Parts: sequence; C-alpha cells; structure tokens
Amino acid sequence: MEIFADIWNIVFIRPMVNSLILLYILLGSSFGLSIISFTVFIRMIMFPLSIRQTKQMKAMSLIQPKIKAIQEKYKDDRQKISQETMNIYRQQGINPVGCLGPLVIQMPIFIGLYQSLYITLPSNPENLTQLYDSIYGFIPLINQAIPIDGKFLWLNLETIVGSADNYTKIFLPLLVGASTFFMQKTTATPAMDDRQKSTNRMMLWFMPILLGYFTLSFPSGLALYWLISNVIGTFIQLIITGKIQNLFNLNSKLIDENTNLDNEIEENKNIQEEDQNESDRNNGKNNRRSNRHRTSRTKRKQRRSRN
Amino acid sequence: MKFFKKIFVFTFISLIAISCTADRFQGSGWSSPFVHNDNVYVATIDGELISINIENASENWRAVSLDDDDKKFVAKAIYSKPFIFDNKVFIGTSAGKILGFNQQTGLDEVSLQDIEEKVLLSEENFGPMIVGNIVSKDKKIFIPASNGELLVFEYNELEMFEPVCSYNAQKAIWNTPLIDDKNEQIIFGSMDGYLYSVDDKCNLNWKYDTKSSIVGSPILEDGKIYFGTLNRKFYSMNASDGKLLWEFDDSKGWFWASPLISSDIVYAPNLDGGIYALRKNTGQIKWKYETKNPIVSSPVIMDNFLIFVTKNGDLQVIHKDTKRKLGSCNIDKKVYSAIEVHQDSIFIQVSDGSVRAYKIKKNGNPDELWRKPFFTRENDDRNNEDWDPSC
Repeated sequence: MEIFADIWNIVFIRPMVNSLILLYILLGSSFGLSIISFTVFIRMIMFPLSIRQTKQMKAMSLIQPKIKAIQEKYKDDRQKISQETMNIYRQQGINPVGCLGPLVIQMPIFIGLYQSLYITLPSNPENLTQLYDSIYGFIPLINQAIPIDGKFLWLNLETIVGSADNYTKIFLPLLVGASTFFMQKTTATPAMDDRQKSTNRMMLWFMPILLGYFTLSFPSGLALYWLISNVIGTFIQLIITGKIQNLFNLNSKLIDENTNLDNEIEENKNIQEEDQNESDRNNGKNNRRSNRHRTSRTKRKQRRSRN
Repeated sequence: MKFFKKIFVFTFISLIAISCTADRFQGSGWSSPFVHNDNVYVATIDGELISINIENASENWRAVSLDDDDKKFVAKAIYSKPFIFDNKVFIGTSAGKILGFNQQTGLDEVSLQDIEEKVLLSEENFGPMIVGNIVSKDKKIFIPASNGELLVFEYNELEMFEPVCSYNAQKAIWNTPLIDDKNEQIIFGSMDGYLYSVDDKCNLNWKYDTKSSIVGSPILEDGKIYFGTLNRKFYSMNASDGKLLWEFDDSKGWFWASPLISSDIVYAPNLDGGIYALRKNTGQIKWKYETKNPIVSSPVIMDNFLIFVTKNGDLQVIHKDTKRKLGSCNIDKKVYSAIEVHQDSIFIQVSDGSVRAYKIKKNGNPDELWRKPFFTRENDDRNNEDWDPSC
C-alpha cells in the first residue's frame, strides 16, 4: 500500500503543490488567483475529455429506446438481452463503460488537487511538516514563499468555512451549492424513463445541498476551488451543448455535432413512439405494411446520416 | 494492448482508492508533556488535558476544552504545552481560549463548568489558534497567536487575567516567546520572516528580516540569540540591538525544532534529518549527525547526552561532544512533541495517543518506564493497555 501512496504523491500531489506555489509567486503572492488559474488550467487540459464524456453520454441516451425495446422483447432471456445489447453497442461504436473512462481519468486529478490545496494551505503544524515532504525544496523561491498567504478578497483561504465570519459562512456554501446546481443542470442527460427522470431530479437537488453542507467543513480555499471549477465546468458544458452558440462562436463544428446528437435523441424517441403505436394497431401481423414502415425508417436514417 | 489497458485502469482505480482512504490529515500529539509536582500534564489531539501520576502512570483527572458545538468546526488538537500559574494548570487551545484548572482537583472528569479561569483571545466564540507555548513573567503571561498577535495579559487583584497590550506581526506566531530579563524584552519570530523584540508594554525595540518564516523558538545565551528559519538558514544576533553576528546556510532542509546550547556549541535540529553542531561564536560547523528522518521534536541535553527523536519515532541518545551513538529505542510511531526532562527521565507524547516515560541509564541507553494510552474512544485499539516495552 505504501508504494501506491508514494506513486500517488510523486505523480499527482508533488507536481500540483509545487505548481500552486509557483503560480502564487508569479501572481503577486495571491493564492486566490493561484487557485483560480490552476483550476482553469486543469479544466482546459481536461476539455477534450469533457467533450468525449458528453458525447458518450449522449450516445448512450440515444440508444436507450433500442435497448428498452430489446429488454421488452426478450424479457425472459437474460443472455439474449445482453447479447443483443452488446450488438447494438458494437453497431453504434459505443463502449458501454466509455463514458466512465474520462470520469475515471478526471477523478485522480480532482482528488489530487483537493489534497494539494489542503497541503499547500496548512492550517496546523502537522500539515506544514507534510508540506515540507511535498515541496521541491531545491527551488529556493518555494522555501521563501512558505507559508502561503491565504488572504483573498474577504476570504481567509485556510480558514474552515464553518468557523469563518457570518458573511462567509452563509454565502460561500450558497455559492458552491448554486454553482453545483447549474453544473448538474447543464450536464444532466435527457431521461428516457420515469425512473431515470426521478433519479436525475433527485441528483439535481441532492448534490448541491450536500456539497453546500460539506463546504462548511472545507477550508475557504477548497470552496473557492469548487466554485470556480463548477463555473468553468458549466461554461464548458454550455459550449459543448451549443447553448451559448450565439454569444461565443467557438468550435462550431463541435456544436453542430452535438446539436445533431440532440436531434437524433428526439427523433429516436419519436420513432419508438411510432413503433409502439403501429405495433398496437397492427398487432404485428401485417408483414407488408411492416416492411413498408421499416423502409421508411431506413430512409429516415439515411437522411440523417447524410446530414 | 487490452492487458495493458486493464493494468492502466486498475492502477488508476487503486490510486483513487488509496487517495480517498489515506488518513492524511489526522491530528497528532504535538503538545509537549509538562512535569510538575510529581504529575505529568499532557494536552491531547482530542482537546483534553490529562493529569498523570509520574510514578505509576495512573490517571489523576482529565478535563475537556471544547463543548460539542465547538468540536464541529474547530480543530480540537491542543498544540501548546500546559503551564502552571497561580497553582492552576493552564492550556492554550486551538479555539483561541486559555483555560485554567485546579491542579489538585482530584475529580475523575473535569467539565467546562469546572474551569477556574477562562481567557478569550477574541470577542467571537473562536479566537486564533495557539500553537507556541505560553510563557509567564511575574504576573504577566505572553501568548503567541496564529493571527500574528503577541498578546500580553496580567493577573489582577481579583485573580483574573486582563489584557494589557498586543503587538501585531504580519503572520502567525507559532514559536515560544523568549523572555530576556537583562534587556527587559520579549523576543519572538513570526511566519512573516521577522524576529521581533518588544518590551512588556508591546512597544517594538527592534526587528530583523530573515525573508523566510520562523517556526522554531529562538534561544538566548550570553546576550546572543540563536534561531533557524524555513529557508534553511540558521542565525545568531545580538539580543540588545538585533545586529546579525553570523548566519549558517549549508543545511538541506528547514530548521523547525528549537536549538540547544551546551558549552560553546549550538545544536540545531533540521527537517533534513540532521543535527548540526555549530560553534556558537562563529557559526562554523563542528559536526553533523545524520538520520534518515526529519526531526520535528525539540531535543534535550542531559549531562553529556544529546537526546532527540525523529519524526518516525527513532529515539536516539548521542554524546554531545563526539556525536557517538550511545543508545536508541524504536518508538515506531510518529513523534512531533518536544521532549520533557525530569531528573533522569524523559517524557514524550506519541502520535498513537500515549505518553511514554524513559529512564536514560548511565551508559545512555533509554529504558521504557511506562506507557500511558489516553484515548477513550470506543473501539479504539490504541486503548489497549497491554504493551511490551520498546526498549
């Protein structure tokens, strides 16, 4: 276990801690600016991953009606369900755990940053000795910069939010909660059934409240990190989904692609509804009409792929 | 390729699991034990003050410093060493309070209502954290606070502390103020990089800019001050005017723990794992004793023995002149607390939640006298009183 902890420290914690301190020195001894610029930098690095994650999630949503239909069709044969589901994944070029991949890669970065902030802003002597273990002591500037001045705007970045002044105690958790809410709102994928809808709704409210509450026991610096990270995350999400296309004409190809994905989801829903209605009407007996329907659906698909 | 992909994913998940579960920020036993009238007083990471009988290690009483509401948001650990004033034993807490308890209370449990003295460093409920030790002179106490203030309180006729004055440094004061009786001044270092000298009315006499944080407490001998900083330098200067006499800059790590002086040598422990023996008049190095672990705990000198303990719990006794290793004991737990000496024994608070007493034998070998675990939390295996002496 110790070797993993050492790897973790060498690969993530030490570079992050030293980057934060160097940024602090470069940005006129403002740790608030150091946190903000570092968060922006990390978010920018992960921008391609965020795009990939969004695309994967949308693609998953897109094929949900088909999977649901398979589950209905073969409800007594689990093996067949998984076989057919895998076929769909293969046909659509989707890796079922693909949307988790970017998340898995982002996780250690965020956890590392979280820990680095704790280490870089030591609130007690133990943490300061831990900082000694994490810095590149051969850089004289870093030794001189310690301890980091945690004052930023009205905040004292190393102070636990819950024990800060009333203004901070009230507004910082609210800001973190609100930004998490908007982040959740922009990243939520369209629900395909009632169960998913209710889960989405629950997460939309549960996460902001939970994080807002947790903020009370974070140092203000971490709360600032969450806040900035959420704001940037929301902004990136809005770019990817094309919702601020008119304001920011960035990456139009990407926007088009994603807009098409949205349309596709909508269209797929309609197809499913049509299928359901027709099968109800004909009870699956009229092969000729069914074939015609299949033809029209194929045509529609071809039209889509041309687009 | 698939195999490597799996290995990659597995490694990532392992790293995440470790980083999530690693107990990185647990408080540790920092406060040095304090021996007075056959009792050892120890302030704990749980915010308790415990009185222990020095002979048989039995617990006399324990007192709490925080109520349940405070515990939610305030670091509980007590860093400052307990001290005696007016027959009461005092502690400075992380919540910025100074609490005084009757030494002889005899109660098993002392609650907040039993506090005989209470000094608040702030009008708010939570004041600045106190890390350095509080020192007293005549009827005054000098409190180093983490908000950068050196606060002076005086014991009045009503037997209560009242504020006299305060001096504001720019950053936290984590070291113990030094009282210079000859020059009637108080000397302390701050994280802002300055070593300050003020009188007991908090007027500044002089200050010296080291351009780096000062954590270790300065010491005084023959009108000269000795102290180290986090930029790996060690200084000597005149106590009367703060004029620099010499500086030593050939270390590899931070000077954290307090130095010591014996004869013409200053012993300066360092986080690079070394103890630097410097000639006190010139700053030239006489020798360096190397260990593999940082030395956070302040060492002591007993006869010809220099006794110190590394962060990973390696207690060592070396000859102060020849640096020959005379004895050692593997505590095998982290140690941050300074060593307290009483007669031929030393007392250390260990981060596993215990106080340990060692007798230093004539040949320099430490002999564990007793070990007192003081955690009371349920299911805490550190509460197990069965133990084998580590030496």
